[in-house]
Amino acid sequence: MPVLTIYKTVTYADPDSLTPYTMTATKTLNVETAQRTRYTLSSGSNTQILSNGYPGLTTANPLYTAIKNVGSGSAYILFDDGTSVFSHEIPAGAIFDFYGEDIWGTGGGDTFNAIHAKGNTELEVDVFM
Amino acid sequence: MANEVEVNTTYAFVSDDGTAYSENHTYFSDANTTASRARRLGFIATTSGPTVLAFSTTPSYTTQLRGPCLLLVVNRDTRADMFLTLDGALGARSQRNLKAGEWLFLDVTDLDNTAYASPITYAAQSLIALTVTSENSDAKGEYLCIYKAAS
Repeated sequence: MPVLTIYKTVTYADPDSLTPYTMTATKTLNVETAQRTRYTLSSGSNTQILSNGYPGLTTANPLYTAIKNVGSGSAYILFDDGTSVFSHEIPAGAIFDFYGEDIWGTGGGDTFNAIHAKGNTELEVDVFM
Repeated sequence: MANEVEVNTTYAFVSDDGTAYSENHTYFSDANTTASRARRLGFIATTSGPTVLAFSTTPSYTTQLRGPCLLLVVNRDTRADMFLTLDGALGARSQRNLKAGEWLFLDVTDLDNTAYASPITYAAQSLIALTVTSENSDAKGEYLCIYKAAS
């Protein structure tokens, strides 16, 4: 089974003390398939960038998702589990990545069924299942 | 080094049909020399869900400055899941489950559902608290939080 290894590093040095605040994390997952899609968003209407729960190459049970804002404006993404929603901003050039699908409930019982996005920008979405 | 935050995300995968999905994504968050007040801390998550990171409007040695922040939270415990709750200043809430080794990353911590409804005019809610619950009484986690004066 193919293996996906993800590395995350955030590097910062305090300008006064030059103290480094670098933090790293690594995660390895066994995945079966993946998909990469690019979307041009609008600030006036929503674009569904992820639909969870469908078998086949449309996303189902995602293990790791990376949403990259490759445009010049901020993107706003909304997670929807059918009853509750929350949203986050992805500034231009930034990445938003997350694990799994039980992203809403603290008890792990809820799963998101779709992610929508708005903004005058473009997104590239990699999903590993 | 400039007063900026460098964020690198790297992953690579080759599917059974030979298609490669890889990325080495690096960008500078808030490159306009506005990043400050970095806080890095190892914390213990428990069954009672302690507040591991709090925010206030005035500088304090116990709290991060309220406003747009970059946040990376990692579950460093190999045994236990962690359940994160992010609370906004006006009641918005975002929750996340992290298995061992997984992380939450937000380039900017502001949250509010109206961002989606009105992305041009929405009023962002600053994060006021991060609480972390675990089924174990001593699950190890770690965070890095950097205040960004503008985002």
